[in-house]
Amino acid sequence: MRNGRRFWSFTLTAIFMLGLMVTSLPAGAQELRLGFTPPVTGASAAEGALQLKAIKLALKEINAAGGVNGKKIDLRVVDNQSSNPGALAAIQKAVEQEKVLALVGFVKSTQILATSDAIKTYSIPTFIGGTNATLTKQGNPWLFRVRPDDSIAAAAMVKFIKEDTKLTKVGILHDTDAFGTGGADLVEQYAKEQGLTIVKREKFTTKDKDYTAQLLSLKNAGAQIMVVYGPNPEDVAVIQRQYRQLGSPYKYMGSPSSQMKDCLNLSRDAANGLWAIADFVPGQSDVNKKYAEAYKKEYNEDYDTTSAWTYDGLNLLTGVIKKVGEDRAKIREAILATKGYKGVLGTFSFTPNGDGLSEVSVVEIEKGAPKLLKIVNVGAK
Amino acid sequence: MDLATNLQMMTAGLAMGSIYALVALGFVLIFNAVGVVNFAQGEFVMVPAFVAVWLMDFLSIPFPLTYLVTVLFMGLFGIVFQRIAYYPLRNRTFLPVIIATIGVSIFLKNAAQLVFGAEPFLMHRPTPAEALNLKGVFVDPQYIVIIVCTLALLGFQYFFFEKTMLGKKMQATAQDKDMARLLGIRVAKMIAFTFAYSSILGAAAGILVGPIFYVTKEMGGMLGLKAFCSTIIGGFGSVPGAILGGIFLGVVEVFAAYYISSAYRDAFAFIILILVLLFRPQGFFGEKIAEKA
Repeated sequence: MRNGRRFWSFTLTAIFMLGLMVTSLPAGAQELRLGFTPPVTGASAAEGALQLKAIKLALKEINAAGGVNGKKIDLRVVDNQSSNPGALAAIQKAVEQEKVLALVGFVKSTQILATSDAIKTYSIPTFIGGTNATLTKQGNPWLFRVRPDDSIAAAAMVKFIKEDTKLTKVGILHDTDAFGTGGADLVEQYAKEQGLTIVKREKFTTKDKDYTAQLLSLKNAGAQIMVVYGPNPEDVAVIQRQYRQLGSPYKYMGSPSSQMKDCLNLSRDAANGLWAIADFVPGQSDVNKKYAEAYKKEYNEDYDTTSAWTYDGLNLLTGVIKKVGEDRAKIREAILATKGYKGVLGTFSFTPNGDGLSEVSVVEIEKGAPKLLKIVNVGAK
Repeated sequence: MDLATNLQMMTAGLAMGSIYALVALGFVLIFNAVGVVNFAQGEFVMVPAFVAVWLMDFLSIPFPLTYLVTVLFMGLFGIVFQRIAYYPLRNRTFLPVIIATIGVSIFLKNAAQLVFGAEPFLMHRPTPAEALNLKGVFVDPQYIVIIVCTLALLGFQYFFFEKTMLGKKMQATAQDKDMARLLGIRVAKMIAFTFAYSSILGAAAGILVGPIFYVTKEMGGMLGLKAFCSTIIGGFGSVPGAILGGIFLGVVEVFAAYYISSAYRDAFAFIILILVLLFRPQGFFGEKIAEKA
């Protein structure tokens, strides 16, 4: 009995070890292994599913067109479990077990911070979708951002206010959380650099329901335009309605939440004519329209704007591998040298820090949907 | 500071305060009847809001009927709630009942998410969406509706508790259950009625704020907390205390946000709460009237 047990434990261990060895064998000569680390399980699983849809569309198109330099792409999907430890484990697994050449990584800024050191140690090119401005400014040369960062929205707001509206007295209303405060700080800083006056800064807490005091205070401070900076579409919808009810005493410019569907569904007519920043507007370019069509054909639904970056990321990555081959250092140089690449999210031109996009769209809400006013490029910072 | 701004803030404050008062009353009535704080009181506002949205949006039932059905439904809801969360535990200490109300609160929130999803709903307005312009003072007509309806409800409540036999029986039950029982009042029934009435107050609050708050599963959370603060500020267990405490809190919040700091708007409620607990623990209207329901 005892021997039998020992025999089984030995055999099982041996099978397990063999299994590990088999999965970690180098990729077949005809396949190019790339990694993708979305949240497949956990709190962000729904987002992860959308990211997978977007990247799989790119994968299908690339492989249908013959792959990269004669090789099919073998995309290894490693679950980050919607957590920071899970993200770190996913990076380790992707590199050490799956032996991927490069990665399309995370959209959550905290996960990117948690894994930044590991990515740097492995020296593996990683595309990211996190928008916290500091991510690419911490001396990690292997992170490449394929979405506009938060500071660009703030800079674009200020640029638009100064150049297009010619208004000079700006009031700010922002959420007291990190996103709202950070955004408001940037708006204030850029506005001062551009010679605009910040007449007053008002704040609110997530889920506030009455903004009468704040809106009146900005009015009495003489604001000509109000910048609203907050992450939650529901809060912003209440602000838009109450702003209208107070007789729209000044112009309105909102952070991206102000033009999100969740917000517009709630604020309805109150939102018409307001300005807001959007990462991009569906249908603003040919690439974008083509993506929308292909996505609709593949999945029979409209694409999700916040996960399209994975599509651009994989396309950018395979594009440079075509040019420079399978060498990580060369891939990095080629990504940074990319200028004027037209993707779904806009025109990519990488800065030395690894920021791919320095443009966002200013939209005006028309009949409950964002309409492109102009694309504002704020240049490299 | 100009008069228009202050008047405008006053209306907003009175409207928010009225809602706090309605929810706070619900707290106090149940507390007086059974000696337990009902932690699902915020959900008593969320549930009718969802019911009203469902009736209006999915079944296209007109306003007056929707309101009537919602109120009746919540009356029934209160009785069922009482049957589940209070009645089986009535002979135990207050703690199991409190935990039961917390359980029901969590259940209701998750049930709402399961049925309606996480996206907020917009309840149709009975009033126009444009603000009334009263010589430069912009007032949301819904705010006026809230204030007027609350006053009407309070008037009705006074009449009900002071002038009707049922109301007097409920008062007697709240004051002394044993005595009431000796006098032939059916105590269990009166307690069920109290829950139903408290739940109907929630229905009124839910219907009134739905169009300005948006209807989400979390809408009752902060409201419940603020209302709880109001009852303590007014003097826990006191009916006029709950009403005035709620209105006081609503008004102070708006003015403090304007004149002191908008960032700490929510904090003011709790700062006042702490000050009251430190210097006047019995609240503004504590003591004598405490046993009146």
